[in-house]
Amino acid sequence: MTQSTGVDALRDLSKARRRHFVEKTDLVNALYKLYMVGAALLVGGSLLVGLAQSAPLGSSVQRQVVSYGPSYLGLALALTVLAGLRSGSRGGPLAIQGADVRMVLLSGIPRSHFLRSKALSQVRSMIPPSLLVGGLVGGIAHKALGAGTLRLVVEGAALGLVGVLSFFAAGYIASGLRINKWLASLVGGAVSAWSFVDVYSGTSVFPGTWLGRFFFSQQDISLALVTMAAVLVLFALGLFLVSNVSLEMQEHRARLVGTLRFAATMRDIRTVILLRRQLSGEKSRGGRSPLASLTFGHGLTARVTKRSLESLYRWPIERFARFIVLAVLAGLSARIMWTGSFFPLAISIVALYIAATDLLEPLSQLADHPDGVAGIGIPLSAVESRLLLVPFVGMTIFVLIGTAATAVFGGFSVSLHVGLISAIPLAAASTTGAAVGVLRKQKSANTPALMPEVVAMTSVIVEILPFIVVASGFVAMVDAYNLHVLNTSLIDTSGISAAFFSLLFPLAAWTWIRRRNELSLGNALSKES
Amino acid sequence: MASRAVLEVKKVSKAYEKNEVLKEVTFAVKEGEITALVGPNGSGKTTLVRAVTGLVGFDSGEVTILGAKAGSDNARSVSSVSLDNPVLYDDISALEHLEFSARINGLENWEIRAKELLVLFGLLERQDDLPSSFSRGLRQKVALSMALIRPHKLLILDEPFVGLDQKGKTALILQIKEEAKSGVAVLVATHSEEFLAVANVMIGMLEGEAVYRGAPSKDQFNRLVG
Repeated sequence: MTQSTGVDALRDLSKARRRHFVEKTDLVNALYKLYMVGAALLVGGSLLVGLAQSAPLGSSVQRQVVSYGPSYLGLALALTVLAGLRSGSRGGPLAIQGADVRMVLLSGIPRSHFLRSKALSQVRSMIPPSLLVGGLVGGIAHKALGAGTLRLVVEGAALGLVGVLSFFAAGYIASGLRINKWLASLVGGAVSAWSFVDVYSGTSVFPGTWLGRFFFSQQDISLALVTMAAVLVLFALGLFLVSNVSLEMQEHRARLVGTLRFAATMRDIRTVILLRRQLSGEKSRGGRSPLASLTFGHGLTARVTKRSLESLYRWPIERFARFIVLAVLAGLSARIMWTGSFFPLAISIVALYIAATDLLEPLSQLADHPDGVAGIGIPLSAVESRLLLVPFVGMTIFVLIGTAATAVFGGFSVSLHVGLISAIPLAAASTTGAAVGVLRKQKSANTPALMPEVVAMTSVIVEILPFIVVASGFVAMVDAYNLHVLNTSLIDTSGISAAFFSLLFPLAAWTWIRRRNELSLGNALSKES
Repeated sequence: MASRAVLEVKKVSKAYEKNEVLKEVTFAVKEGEITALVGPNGSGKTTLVRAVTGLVGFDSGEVTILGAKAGSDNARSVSSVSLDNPVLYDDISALEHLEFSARINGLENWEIRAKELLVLFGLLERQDDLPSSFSRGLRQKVALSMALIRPHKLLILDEPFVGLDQKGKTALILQIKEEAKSGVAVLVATHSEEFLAVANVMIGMLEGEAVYRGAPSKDQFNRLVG
């Protein structure tokens, strides 16, 4: 068999698939989607730039950004490399279809041609978003730093591209060399530690920092160019090695990535988290739990609490590590609010939501399989509400970890005050918000007797409600910020009332969880009558 | 003249962490020979089949196909595989699947053979339909047709009878016999007792070990599969 025959067949396959895609595509629907994406990008972009504009940096802060920014940018690049290496150790970042694994990679044609073209097309698809995001960051930096717009937009776009190429280069090299995840973490950790030297000591010994210095203050241009060239060389090496990926891992990834994309399309965050765990090879701890032989009491609360603790016992080390990283991220993002920008709070909200969803695993399983409880005559809501207890304690610890992280990075007294006043509201809000996310049901678009506009609005509310509940936990913190701006004591009567006010949304959510089955039954009966 | 071995498996072992799934498995499949690979669930049949195709690596031992290392370009160009759960493209038709399988493996004049297989498996009327609308059985038939259309010296089928109706099973057995008659070495991992009547050789797997190699035996089959 000649290689060209196989290549021709591959080309014709692509043509056939494109043809079927065009046949199936509704032009009006496609144009509508394009319009929606364009509008979302425009609104999102304007919002981001506007946010930066609304919070111009003072000259001393500008000096700090120019001084520390490069090393933090280097750290971000190092973490990107770490992420790429870890993805590569699991067979990523290449994600090809299951049918391609079976039909192309098991066929007689040399694999290298196919795998490299798939890798190139994967990177190509990421180039426009990386340029866009990088350019946008450059634009925001221009507003904040007051430097030339065009220069920062172009440099930001270039940095975005370097970030994407670094990620894929690290990933392809790791998957081609088939290094295991421990080695990947070790190498990635070493690179991160290298970059952290610059963050800690204010030096510039890490190549990512050189790029940062070029971006922020046009210094180290030659070193930055050498770094970019090195990234290109490593990317070429990755493309060369990618033909040696493990087919077993590719098949496993193909199965999970397909389901993951579907879950993401359905905005099913819990399934996305679950599949993400499988994709990263997270395995729950096996064996008999030491809690199994312990008696916590015979009441329902004791038994449900034991169930929650057993779930925690099954957590692998990686999940605990992620929990701590998310806590630090949430804390530091909330800390940025003190510089006047509320936007990073969104990162804190998402981090809280993800961590709480992880802790609510037993509730999620009960939501998927409620028959076991229903069969023994215990009201489902009684078990569900008790399953929030351990996650609530876990999320309190989460907030305290975040508080500790912010205390390390400056303002020990402020961090401690704000952390203490926010801990309970944030833990309650994140636990109940994530629980609402787990237990809510999608509204059917075909709900009769309702106008389509009402159905659409209800769907949007159902989508964002869990995040609103989580966000409500920040009321006490925002109040503390306002007091800070007014230069008064951080904890006063208004702060304490704000903390209580923060608990209203979680309380409402908890009541809904307790009463929702009765509410559904009431609705059903009223419809019937 | 003695027929030569097409597939040679020598002392192949594989473990997932502490779980040994293959323990020094050794056997060979000669040209024109139909070998049934039997054993209970979890005995290592599927892992062995995947190791032979190169889809799964192994820790020690050697697998060669006509002298070429399993998974290499040369080994893949002479072996054809249909694995336990059929995975197809959802956006090309059944006929286009057959065309692709034939052409990517170097068969240019594929139309007549494709028609034969479509008729054989009762797929002719659905040839232009997308597999996304197919049942498990129909998808299995497309996957088997794809394995049969491409040129090969070794045919590897994992649980090929699952989901097939009686007509489909009969058609497949007929095809397997014809393949063997033309000199192809056939390895079939199966739970189907009726397949023993077709096979020349039976390999029994138990807890990762090849515990039986010889003529197909219902007693041995029942002892292993239960």
